[in-house]
Amino acid sequence: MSPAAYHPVLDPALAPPFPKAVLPVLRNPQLRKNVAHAIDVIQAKRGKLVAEKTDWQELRAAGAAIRDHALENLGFYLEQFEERCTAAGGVVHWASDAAEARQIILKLLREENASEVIKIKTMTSAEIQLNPFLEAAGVRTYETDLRRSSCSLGKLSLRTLWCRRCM
Amino acid sequence: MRVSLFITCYNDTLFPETGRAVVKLLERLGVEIDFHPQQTCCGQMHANTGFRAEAFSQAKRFVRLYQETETVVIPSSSCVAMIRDQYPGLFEELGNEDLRKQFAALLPRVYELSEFLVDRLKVEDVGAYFPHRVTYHASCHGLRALHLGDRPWRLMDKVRGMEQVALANLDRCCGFGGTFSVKNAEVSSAMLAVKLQDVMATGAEFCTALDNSCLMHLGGAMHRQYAGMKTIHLAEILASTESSPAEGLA
Repeated sequence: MSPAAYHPVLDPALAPPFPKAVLPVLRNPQLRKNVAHAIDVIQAKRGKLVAEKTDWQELRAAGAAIRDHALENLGFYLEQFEERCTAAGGVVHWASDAAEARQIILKLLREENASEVIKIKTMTSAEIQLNPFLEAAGVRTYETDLRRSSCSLGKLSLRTLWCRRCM
Repeated sequence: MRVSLFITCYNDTLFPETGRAVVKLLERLGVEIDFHPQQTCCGQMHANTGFRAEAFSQAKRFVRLYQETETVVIPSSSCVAMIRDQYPGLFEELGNEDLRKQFAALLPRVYELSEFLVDRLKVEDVGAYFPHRVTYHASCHGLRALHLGDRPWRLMDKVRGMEQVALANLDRCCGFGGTFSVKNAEVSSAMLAVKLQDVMATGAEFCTALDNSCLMHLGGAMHRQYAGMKTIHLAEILASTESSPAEGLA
């Protein structure tokens, strides 16, 4: 199996069909063992918390209702977020598609004269194919899951660890 | 009480013993059964693979056949989930207001077998006898779409002679997923292999469920591995009595 097969192309237009793309992963026993272990650990933790609650099914339904409401009124909440984020000193950028989002991010990096960037691992950045785009534009990218730990360190550390504009 | 039995294409073509067991069980409970020989399939396979026109025709047929029926009983969570979750969208798309209203009126009278027994007939002890070690597999559609909850256990707990063995990771899919098992055979088989480990670890004689589709997937693997375990639809266990055991065991 070629090494490229382990880095599947995420662009739906370029990616091989799922049943084919999945084969190298399926035939990787270490990866499957790791994923199975991760699932077992997460499920066991979840099971422990569920067992503590007598009304978890109701909580779950309430959570689903909140999510559905947020999705149905996404426009309103996005604008509300922009308003509050701006008031708190943040800048919200709006992009109509993946290409525009990539351009905005590159422009910000150019303004900082950045040749390297540490970025949070997010599904959104994977979906808009941000990393290959930045690499092609000469910006070395480093991905991290550190955001979670930094969030738990509190506001101050969040600011010191991260350039706000790259968040 | 009078019910109409929608047996589903799957049970009809592959598991006729399940259909016979449902009839035996319901008749023993004093239920009169109607059967429309014109019935075919709920259309899930068509809807899930993009054959909208074919799904529409099955959905329309279902409403046409059962609109006068007091209660429809279906021994397959998957097909009930199709009717409950997907039909509303199909009828919406069709844009025929009369049909949509007919369906909306019919829907509350459509029951999955365990729902029918526990909720409608209000019976948990169906007088069954099944002297075997059994593990129960909770199908995705029963668990996540219909929210069957503890209904299957309420029924199983009253089966005389039966020893239940809890299945680990009960909420995990067996990997079948209808046409998924054809289109993504490798992933489907990988999921099956994981599921089968838990199922075999129970050491049960039988693995039961309320969906023969999962049981076909699991049973196929058991058969090929020469496993000492068999699959059986819960209806067949519930229909089984001392004097009239489940088919194949007599």
